[in-house]
Amino acid sequence: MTRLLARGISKTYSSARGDVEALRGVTFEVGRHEFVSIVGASGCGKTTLLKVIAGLVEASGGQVELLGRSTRQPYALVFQDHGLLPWRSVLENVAFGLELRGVARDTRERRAHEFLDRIGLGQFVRHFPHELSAGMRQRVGIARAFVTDCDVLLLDEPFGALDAQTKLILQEELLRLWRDDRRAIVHVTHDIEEAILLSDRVLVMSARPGSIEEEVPIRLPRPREVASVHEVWELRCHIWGLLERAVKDTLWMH
Amino acid sequence: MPHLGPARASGEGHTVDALTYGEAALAATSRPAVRGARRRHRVPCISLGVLGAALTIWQLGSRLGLISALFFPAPTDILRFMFTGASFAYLADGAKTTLGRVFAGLLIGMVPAAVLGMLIGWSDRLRRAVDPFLAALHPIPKIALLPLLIVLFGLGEASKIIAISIGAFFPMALTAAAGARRINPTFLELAQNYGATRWQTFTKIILPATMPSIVVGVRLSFNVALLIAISAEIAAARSGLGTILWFAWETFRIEQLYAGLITVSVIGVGFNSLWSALVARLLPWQDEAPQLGHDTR
Repeated sequence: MTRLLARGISKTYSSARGDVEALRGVTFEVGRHEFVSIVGASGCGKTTLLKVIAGLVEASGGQVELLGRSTRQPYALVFQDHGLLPWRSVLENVAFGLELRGVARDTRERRAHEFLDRIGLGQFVRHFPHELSAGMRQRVGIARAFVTDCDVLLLDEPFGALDAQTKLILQEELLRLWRDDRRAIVHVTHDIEEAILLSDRVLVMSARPGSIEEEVPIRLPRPREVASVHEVWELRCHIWGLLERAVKDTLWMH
Repeated sequence: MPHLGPARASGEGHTVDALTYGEAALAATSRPAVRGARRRHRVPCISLGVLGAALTIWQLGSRLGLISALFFPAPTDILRFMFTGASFAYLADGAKTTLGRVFAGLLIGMVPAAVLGMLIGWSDRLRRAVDPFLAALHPIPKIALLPLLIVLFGLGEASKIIAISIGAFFPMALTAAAGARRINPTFLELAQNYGATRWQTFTKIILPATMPSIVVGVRLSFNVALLIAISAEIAAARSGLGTILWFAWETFRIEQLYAGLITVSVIGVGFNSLWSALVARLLPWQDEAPQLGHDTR
C-alpha cells in the first residue's frame, strides 16, 4: 500500500551565473512499511530531493503526496551531522519535535526517556551532545526522529560521517527500530552496500539533473548477513554499473 | 522571510558591511575559549608574575630616585592612599556612581541591541534594510555625541546614560547579528521540519544559538560603556570616577590619579571575571560545542 507518492518532481535553482537544474521529473512511490534507499553520485540532487519531500525546499514542478489519513507529523528528518542542539540535553533534544507540537512536558519527556532506554542511552539523558561520541550523537538524532511518531522517516546519509564499525552497529539498530515500528523510510546514501543491506528497494539516480535511472528491488531475505554476500556482490555490481557513468560525469573524467 | 538552507552559509557576497565588525569581534574573542583548560590556568600565573616584577621595579625605581616619585609615586604609597578611610570612601562612592550609570546604560542599550542583532542576523531582508545605518553610525566615536545629547537632554544623568547606552548598543547588535548569521543551517531546517512557528524558531533556536555571541557582546559592551562613562564624567559631571580623575589632574594629586585608574582597572577585571564565572555556570555547553558553525566531529 503506497504511503508516499512523488510525481514529476523538478527543482531549478537560480543564481547569478544562470539557472541550475538539480532535479528533473523524479517520480517514485514508497509503501507504508517500506524501506527505500536512494543512491547517486555526489551532487546529483539526492539531498535536494529529500528536502523537497520534507517541505524544506520548494519544488519547481511536480508534487509530493502523503496518501492515507493521518494525524501524525508527516515527515521527520535525520541529518548527516545529527543536528543536535548543543544547548539541550539528550532528553531535551529527543523531545524537541514533540515540544514544538505542543505535547505536554511530562508526556514528551516520558516518551523520550522510554525511547532512549530502548536504544540503550537511558543513562545519558542529562548529558549534552558534546559529551557523547559521534555514534551516540547520531543515535540520539535517530531517536528524535522516531519518537515524533511521524509517517515517513527521511534519512540524509545518517552514517556518512561515522567509522566503519560504528556504522555497522547503527545500521543494525536502525533496522531493529524499523522492524519494531514498521514505518516508511526514505534513506539517501552514496554507499551502495549500505543501501542493499538496509532496503527493500534501491532507487538509482542519474547525474545532475537528477532523475530516477532505475529501481532495483532487493529481494534478499532479512537479516542480510554474510550468507548472502554473493547476492549482495551481484547487486552491488549491477547498481555500480548504473552509477559509474554518472560518477565519472561528476568527476569530469569521461 | 528568514533565509534558510545552505545559501545562508555560502551566498554572502555582499559582506562588506557593519556586521564584519561583529564577525571579527566574535572570532577574536571566541578562539581562545576552545583552547585547553590547562593553558587557561597557566596564563594568570604568568600575568601575576609579570605584574609583580613590574611593580617591584617601579617600587625600587621610585624609592631609589631612579624615576621621578612626583610622577611615579611608589606603588605602596598609592595603595596606602587608596586604603585610607576618606580616600577609600571617596573612590568607592565614585565607583558606585560610575557603575550605576554604566549598568543603566547597558540595560537600555544592550537589550534592544541583542534583539535587533538576532533579527538582522536571521533575516536577510531586515539586514539589508538596517545595515547601511549601522555602517554609518558605528564608526562615530560615541563620546562625540555627548554635546548633542547634552543639548537635547540637559546636563543631568539622562544625557550620560543615553551616551553610554548608544555606546553599548553597537558591540552587542553587531556581535549578536554575527552570531545569528553563523547558526548552523541544520538547526533552522530542523525547526522547520518539525513545523516550528516563527516565534518558536526565534525562542528555541535563534536565541539559544546566539547566546555565546551575546555573552561576547556583553563583555564588549561593558568595556565600551565604562570607557564612555569615564569620558562623559571627565567632560560633564560632578561625580563618578571620571570626575575624580579630572579633579586629581587639576589639583595635581598624582596618587589620587593613580588610585582612580587602579579602581577603573579593578572594575573592568572584576566584571570580566564575574561574567566568565557566571557564563560557565549558565552556559556549560558553550566552550565545548561548535554550535555556531557546522559540527564536523
